[in-house]
Amino acid sequence: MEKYSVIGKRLPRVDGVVKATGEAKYTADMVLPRMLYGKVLRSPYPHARIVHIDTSRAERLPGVKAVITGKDTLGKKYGGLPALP
Amino acid sequence: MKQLIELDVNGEVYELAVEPRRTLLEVLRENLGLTGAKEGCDMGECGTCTVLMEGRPVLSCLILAVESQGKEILTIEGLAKVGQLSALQQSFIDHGAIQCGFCTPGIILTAKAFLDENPHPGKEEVKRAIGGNLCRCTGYVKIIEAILAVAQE
Repeated sequence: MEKYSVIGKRLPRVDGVVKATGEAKYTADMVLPRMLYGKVLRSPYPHARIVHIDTSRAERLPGVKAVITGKDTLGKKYGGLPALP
Repeated sequence: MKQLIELDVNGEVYELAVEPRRTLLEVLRENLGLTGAKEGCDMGECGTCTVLMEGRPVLSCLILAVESQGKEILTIEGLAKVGQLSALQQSFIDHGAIQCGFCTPGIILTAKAFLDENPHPGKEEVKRAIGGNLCRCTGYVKIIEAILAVAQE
């Protein structure tokens, strides 16, 4: 065993120190120039059919850059990757 | 309307203008850039936002910044002394008690306050002490080992 430097040894995580000191940056900790903030509005009703979403008032609010609904996703319900054939 | 407050964080006094509705967590993270305290649930369930106030663990998502004036606040960023990790921080690393690390700052601070009051606890006491801090990776065994190792030093 002794000829190995890694196998059979307990190794500390490479990111252990920054995680123990709070330095580690998670996605929500990042601040970037011109960063926008998003907010998800969920349906208050389970299994409801969406008939219409009126986004006009939200779009008129000062500072709002975009209001995105199902109409903006080309009918794709989940994820951004095409399904494998 | 914003209110002028002084916050004593990690031994430094910050003068800030904050809206009275903002939580200590928001002000720590957004105004002071101290992102070690995490926003997990933002409703006092998970313990990731734990900081020490006058040496006691508090949930910074449930405390207003304006209420925190004049109190000594310690966040995870203030725990290591000039590049020297605290015994708990080192122990968490050595025992593999950190995985994703999101709960780590809160648990280390909770454990610090606990060990400051009770330096030689048993395993059951440690479990009870960290009962308010959720970890979804490690299953707590290594976290408890890491805390007990410091207690036995």
